[in-house]
Amino acid sequence: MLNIEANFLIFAASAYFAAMIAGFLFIAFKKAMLDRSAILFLVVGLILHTISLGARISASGRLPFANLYESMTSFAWGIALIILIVNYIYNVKAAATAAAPIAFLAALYASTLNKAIEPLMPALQSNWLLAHVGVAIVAYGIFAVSFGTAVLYLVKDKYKARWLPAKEKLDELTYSLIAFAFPFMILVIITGAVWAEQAWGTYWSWDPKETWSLITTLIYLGYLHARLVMGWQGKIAAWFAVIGFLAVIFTYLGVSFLFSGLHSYTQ
Amino acid sequence: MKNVLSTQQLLERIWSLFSSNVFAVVLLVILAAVSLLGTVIPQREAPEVYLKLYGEVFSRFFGFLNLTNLYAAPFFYIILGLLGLSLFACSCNRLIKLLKEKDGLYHWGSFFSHLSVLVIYLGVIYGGVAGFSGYAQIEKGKDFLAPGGLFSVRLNDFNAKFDAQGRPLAYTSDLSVRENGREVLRKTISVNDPLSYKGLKFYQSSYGLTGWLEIRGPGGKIERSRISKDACCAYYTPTGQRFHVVEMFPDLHVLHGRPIENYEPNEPLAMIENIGWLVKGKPLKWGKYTLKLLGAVEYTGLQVKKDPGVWVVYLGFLLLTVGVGMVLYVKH
Repeated sequence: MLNIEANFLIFAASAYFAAMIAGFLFIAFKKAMLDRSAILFLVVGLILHTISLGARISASGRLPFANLYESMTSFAWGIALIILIVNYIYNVKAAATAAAPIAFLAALYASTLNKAIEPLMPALQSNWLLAHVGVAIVAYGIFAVSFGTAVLYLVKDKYKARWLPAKEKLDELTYSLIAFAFPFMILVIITGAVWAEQAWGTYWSWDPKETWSLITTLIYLGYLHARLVMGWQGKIAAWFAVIGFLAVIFTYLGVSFLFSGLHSYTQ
Repeated sequence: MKNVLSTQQLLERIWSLFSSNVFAVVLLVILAAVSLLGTVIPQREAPEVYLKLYGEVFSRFFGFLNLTNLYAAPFFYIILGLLGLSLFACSCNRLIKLLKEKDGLYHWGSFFSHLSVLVIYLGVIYGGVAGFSGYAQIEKGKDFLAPGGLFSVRLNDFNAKFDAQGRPLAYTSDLSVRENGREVLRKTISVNDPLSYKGLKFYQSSYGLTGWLEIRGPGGKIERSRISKDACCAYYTPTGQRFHVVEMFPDLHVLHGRPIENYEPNEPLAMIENIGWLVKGKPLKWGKYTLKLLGAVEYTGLQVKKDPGVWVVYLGFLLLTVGVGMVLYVKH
């Protein structure tokens, strides 16, 4: 089973890579066909990736949420799916250009990680694991795509690239994504708090991971207030979205590697 | 008359400060920055750790500024308190808006989200004032009198399970709640499944072994000492001989590369510093002394907690989720 899992993950990463290249070529040559093929590559990648995840689930007998490899491959899968949904709902060009690189990097990174199936350590043996990591993948995945659209906005702003979607559309899309993801981010913290209360008897202990999830939430809270209350739009909002996702990355990866704490599941 | 007016003016100034967006944003930025600092500087470590990391001047400076126990520092509570006041002012303003206008869901959602954080604050404060948190170490077969003295908790059995590679699978404590000498409740707790009784909760937190060391000294003098896996304490004989327990294992098999499946001290053994392994039932001669491991028993370490505020916090969570959902998911 490991072969199917590992090989199809590499196939999926390759498809995401192809989607990324097609997305970049779309920017270079402005052919709508290239954007469509990027989306097609993403669909293929998502199917291959689903096979890899299916093999993992059938081998381990549980959802792939328990360690860095499992959460990273699920994260990459989530990003690919979210790009396709955004492409379908908003019918915006260059959605793949914006976020396929992140899906590719996440899948590539996952493919290098230790894939051994470990028994769930006692602290993780809880249904809250599914809720906590499940909402985190949704929130982080959508934030990843919003990062991509914000970067496109900044590119458009700097180079006046006519083939990219209108600035207003990118700005609005970035906002819609963040607005949709934010309640999930709140749920990440809430499920984590309720779970910690059940496992350790304390719902908040200023563990570095907890603190960084709060910082990330505060950044997006700032973005939402700046927009909804003070009416900030455009460039400054795009930079906010970029910084927000950098905080997401740091919460997800940086904290695990730099600090020790309750979330030390990265080995 | 003039005086009264100026007081009112002052209050209005304060109110408009606390309800201003800029003030709230500045507070949020400060909160984020200070929280961040607390993840960069290790918190609540021993003084030596800071001395090694930052040198003498800076470690003293950080200690003076409370940066080494930042989340419990007065200035941190002041930031949180000011944020609470700002939230209160915002919530009131939103409520006033709500009563004036009829633009429903969005403003209700906004009101609920701001109010929810205040509700969470209240829950945290209530829990902090009316609750407590502590640690209980109970040996197998022994009772622990719960704080408040209403009942006691007995450890019937502790078990740690490992797989063939020695990775932990489960830690469980079989507990009985006893009142007036009678068992009123029995439950086997595990890491994600605490015992709850009369407002107190008992969480599986740690475990270990404790044993008895018998030392026969010169002239046949026998002494007994309690030893523990934690190796917290060394045992000194009156003549100054030191026996320091480095490790304790419940079973000999763990030494032969075979991990223990069940944590039962069938053949306990202890590693005594500079001397070697001492196995139960096999006395060891060391100079003028004869050491004997009489036996060992497992103990469980329980986090004991009372937090009546937790349901208020959860109510705040619910309000927060509903409120944020109403603001962001309802078209306006």
